[in-house]
Amino acid sequence: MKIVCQLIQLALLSFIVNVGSAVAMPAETYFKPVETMTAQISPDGKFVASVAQGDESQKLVIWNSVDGSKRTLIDLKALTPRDASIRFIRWIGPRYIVAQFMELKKGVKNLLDTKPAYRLLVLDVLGSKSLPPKVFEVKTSGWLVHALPDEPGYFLYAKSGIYSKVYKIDVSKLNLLNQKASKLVRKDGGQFTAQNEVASVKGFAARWFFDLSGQPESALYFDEGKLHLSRIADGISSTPIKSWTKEELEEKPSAGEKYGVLIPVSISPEDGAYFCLDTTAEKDRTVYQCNFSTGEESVVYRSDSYDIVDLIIDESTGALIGVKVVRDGKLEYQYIDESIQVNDGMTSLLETTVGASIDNTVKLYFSETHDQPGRYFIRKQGQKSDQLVASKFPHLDGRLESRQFHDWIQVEGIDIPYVLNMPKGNGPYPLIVMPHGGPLGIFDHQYFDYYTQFFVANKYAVLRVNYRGSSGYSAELEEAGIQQWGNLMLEDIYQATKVVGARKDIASSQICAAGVSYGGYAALMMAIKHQQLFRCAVSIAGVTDVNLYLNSPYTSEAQTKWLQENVGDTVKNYDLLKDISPVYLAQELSRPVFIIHGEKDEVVDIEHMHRMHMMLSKFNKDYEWKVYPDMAHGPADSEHHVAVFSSIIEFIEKNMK
Amino acid sequence: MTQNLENKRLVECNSGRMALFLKSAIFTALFLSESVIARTLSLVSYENPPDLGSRQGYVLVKLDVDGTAPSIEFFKLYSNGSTYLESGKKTRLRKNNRYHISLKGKPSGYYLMAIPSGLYQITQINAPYFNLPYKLDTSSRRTWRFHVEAEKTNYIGSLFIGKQRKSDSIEVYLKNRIATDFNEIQASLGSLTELYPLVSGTGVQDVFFNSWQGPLEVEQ
Repeated sequence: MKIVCQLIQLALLSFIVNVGSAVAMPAETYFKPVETMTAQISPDGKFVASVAQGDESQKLVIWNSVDGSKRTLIDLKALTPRDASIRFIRWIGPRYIVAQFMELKKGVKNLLDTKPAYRLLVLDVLGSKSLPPKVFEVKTSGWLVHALPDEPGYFLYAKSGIYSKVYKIDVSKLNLLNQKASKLVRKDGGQFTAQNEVASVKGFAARWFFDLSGQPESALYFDEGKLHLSRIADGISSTPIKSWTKEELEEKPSAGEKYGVLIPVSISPEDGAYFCLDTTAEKDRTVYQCNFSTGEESVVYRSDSYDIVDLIIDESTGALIGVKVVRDGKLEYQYIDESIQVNDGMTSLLETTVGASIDNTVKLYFSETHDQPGRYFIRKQGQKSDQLVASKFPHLDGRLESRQFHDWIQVEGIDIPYVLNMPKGNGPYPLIVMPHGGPLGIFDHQYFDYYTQFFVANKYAVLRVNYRGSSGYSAELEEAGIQQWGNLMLEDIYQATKVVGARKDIASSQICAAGVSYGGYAALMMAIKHQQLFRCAVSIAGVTDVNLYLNSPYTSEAQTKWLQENVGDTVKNYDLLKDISPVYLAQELSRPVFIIHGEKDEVVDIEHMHRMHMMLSKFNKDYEWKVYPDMAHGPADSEHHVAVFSSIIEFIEKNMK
Repeated sequence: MTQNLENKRLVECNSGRMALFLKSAIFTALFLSESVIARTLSLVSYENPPDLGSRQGYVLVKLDVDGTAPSIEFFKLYSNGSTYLESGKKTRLRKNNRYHISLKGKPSGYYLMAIPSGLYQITQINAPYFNLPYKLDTSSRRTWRFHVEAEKTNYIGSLFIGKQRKSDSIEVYLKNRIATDFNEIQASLGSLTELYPLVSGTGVQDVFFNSWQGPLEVEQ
């Protein structure tokens, strides 16, 4: 009897081991925090400074291009016990790197905007490696506006108030970090004086614009209830270029206009032009080039899905090389491919020169492909091979191998593009159809996609359809998505799945849909409407009741109006929208579904998940559900990614058989 | 002299009329001001439900509010008995049915009040904080409506007023969460909802709860 029990135990153990080994790339191995957020090369090309992000704190790391060594200059955890993050870094000559960071101080109780404190640190990189670096501090409130590449050790610093000014600051005169002021030690070396003033305007300056050498060119500032853009001559505002009233700034684009008021955020290398963002857009996803003298405006870049909060400009040329976006509440750097600025091609290699030494002999570039997360390399003139400096996800470097295909199908007279990722091999592979969220004005790109490559690493093919309403291709495709939430958008996904499902290397009987937000909605609808094709569905933070979504408590009046025009009118068309809501179609479902939601979701309220759960329970359907108390609109940190994607893999494997 | 007497009488008479006019004017003004001044209502814990008056129903709200002195104001709407306003119907406030509720010091949880049946519009949220007065005008927002059916427990949602705020903004939501809160409501107010059945009291069209409660349709 004992032997029998031992045999059973052994059998069970081997079963567990087998199940465990079925996951080729466990979520614990795959999902880890971004290690490198951004990198900058020093003007002499000898160093690269990078910001390394951990789950708990950020570090400023210096990489020496001569000997390949790495050194942590500052670790925010050691610098401050408070929550802190580095907002940007910039070289001031070959010796100093500037890091502006924000920390959350105590502030006035319960008053959030009294809590962030910004500090500008200047770090000396040439000190002894065995000693902590010399750190200088700028205590005066303001921000660095120009690094003055021709004058090492100096930079321009802006201070806003009733009169806003720009000062030229000498690093060597600044005080060391935490040095107390006294009669002999003046705040910031007493440099904020008229003597060091290089430009001023009457009003509160929001932006200063300079030419490449650091000469003030123009300023954007508030004065007497208006926003002004004026040229700067001899250090003071001279010719007004354009002004906006408060009403004009809030004015929504009228019918037929594609965008609203464009406000300059950076100067463009083209004469008289600026890079601008649309202040009235619900989501700042597009960068425009605008010339206020000629009235010319054009689109230069569109982000795939996230709000643009700032631009990344090549300091030597003034060219736009990327954007800073907010993704999952964190700042992320998105670089623009040098050869394809708007998504008109389908290569999966993204390569961007991030910076270069002044003599142009050393270049720092960023590179990523569909199966290789972004990495920073140094390319030296005359050297055949490049040097790897830093990776976004070093634990994935060289570990992901997949094939990527792009194709189009025609649905109702419109070309619908799709991207298919496959594991290497002959297959046939089970297919996960992953519709993107949004759904309007967002698209799936051809570069590295975090979730897609996770599934591919686990031997699934992944189909992402840029259904009508998606941006990044053509205005026709984008506009065709208006009022098509539960109709032709879904038809596009279904038709593309049919075509891909017919491939020999796809296991046509093993297709599951999975997505976040609208993607979660579409996944549920695929399982409801096309049960012959889809074996299961996973909905993360998915909309389940379209009327409830349109009556969201979290949307502003402007957003509600936008939703009404682009998705549907819940007052006029309640029944139509009810008919495309999974909650009211639950009875039709005959495939297993998995619904996942975060209690802190303020985009698609958790009520959506509970409604679906109640209806599925009522009709005794095969379903699983999971609530994460600390999760917002989808997983954001490694912990949630691991938990959510482990459970998804388990669900899919169980239901694809 | 006669003329003078006549004039005096006229003056006296006029003064008498004037006094009467003034008295009635003051009375009318007081009456009018009485009618537009908000009536103060109280939310009470679900554990001590108030008695229902004739043609009254319970408003059930989940509170998650904070701050020094939060309060809400609402009006009854002209609605012809409808639970929501249909397309094209204008929002008309019944000026004589204005209410004010203080939410100060209310711990998070479920609260009740008994009010006449009808459709209501929450018109203002007050969330002052030291020298930062805050009033959110919600009079034009459909989602800030609720309706009350007589003899029913009308769940109007989860009212959230954030504790932490910015100088010029604060998070304030009325979340329609009947499915999310359903189990809690059943556990806490089960005996009350047996007498006065639970219904969705949201002031926009929402058939979810009725659909969920509806009979199972057996497929032929």
